[in-house]
Amino acid sequence: MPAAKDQVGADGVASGASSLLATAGNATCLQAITLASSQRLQSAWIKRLVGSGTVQMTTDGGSTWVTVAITTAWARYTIPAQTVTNPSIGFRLVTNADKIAVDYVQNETGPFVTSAIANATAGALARSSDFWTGGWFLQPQTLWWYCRFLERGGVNIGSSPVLVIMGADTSGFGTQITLGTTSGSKFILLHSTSGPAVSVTTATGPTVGQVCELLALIRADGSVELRQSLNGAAETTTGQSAGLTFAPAWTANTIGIGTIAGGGDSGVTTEAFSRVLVGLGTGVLTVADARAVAV
Amino acid sequence: MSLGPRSNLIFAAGGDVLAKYGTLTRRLQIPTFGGEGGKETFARASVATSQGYVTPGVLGIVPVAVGVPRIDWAVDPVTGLVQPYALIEATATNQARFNRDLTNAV
Repeated sequence: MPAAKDQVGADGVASGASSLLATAGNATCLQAITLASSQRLQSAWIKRLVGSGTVQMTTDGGSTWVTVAITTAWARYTIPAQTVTNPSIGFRLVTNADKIAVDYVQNETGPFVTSAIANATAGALARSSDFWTGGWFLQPQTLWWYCRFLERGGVNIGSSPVLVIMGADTSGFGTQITLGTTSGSKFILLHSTSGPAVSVTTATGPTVGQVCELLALIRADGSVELRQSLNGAAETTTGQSAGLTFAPAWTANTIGIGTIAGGGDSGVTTEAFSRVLVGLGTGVLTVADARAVAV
Repeated sequence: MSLGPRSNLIFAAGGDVLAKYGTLTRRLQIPTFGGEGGKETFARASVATSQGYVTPGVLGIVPVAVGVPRIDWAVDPVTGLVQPYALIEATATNQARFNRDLTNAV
């Protein structure tokens, strides 16, 4: 169907986005991609310009059409991920003369959508990882950590990325405390002394879109406990691990949020953090305590 | 950042910190140990986007330059309020070509 690059985009820029006009019923706009078999997640920013007919998206060239309930305002829509070889992605307007605006079409690997990647090239385009680290200054001791974040899919990343890491070297090893993800879409809290280590793992994890709160407790005997609340529900606990004598120093005086110190793509999570707090001692023992801490 | 005798908070980061102080990281400790001057080291090798206000009251896509941390404004499902979040993402690749210009779709 006819396309024109004539719409104010989802970024507010004039002629930043495209329109699609159905000149017949079941009009389609498709783009073929040459790609080995993989799980594909298809998304796009869409708004309705004319008409009220059904609007659909596809990842597999139209073998499967998924209806998206669009409005006259820009919003991002995704359709369920599919494992596809050579995906063919696009749109179908069921009703003749309907017209929609489309922006930031995205086809990416995996089960969850990530931030929009503007691609004005004739090939695929990558967005690099975010690396957030900082210096640290205190030796291993009794601590509490609290993270509150919008689950964006990091818990499902198979390489087990970190949420917060303290003390590890640039490879993620050494005397450290790590709050990260582990297999089964769960979270793990690890206290390691470059040899002996203790850890605890949550029984469950969040689903994409939930608010997740995690409280990591590192106690005076070196044991660890991880408490979790999802969408404000009652908190659960892993219970307390065995004790572990603190090492006299970290392997590196660093703290990383969502990444290991020094970077490394396999260590990077995908989350949106409203709070990462670190405190000394045992004044905070529950998620409810942590919520009450003023930043 | 308040250092309450009960919580003994020494480090805070994220969208709530940005909303209150205009910085993404706050660290409270004597200057000898890099205290109040403590700041995150951030890196990203490519441009990126986040969700932000493109006009007052209207959320949309905002571009973010290489090496700049991203603030994502989103509805908190617990509070129902739109609030800022510090966005950290692993690398991803968009296979859709000319993804804003559908005249190049096929």
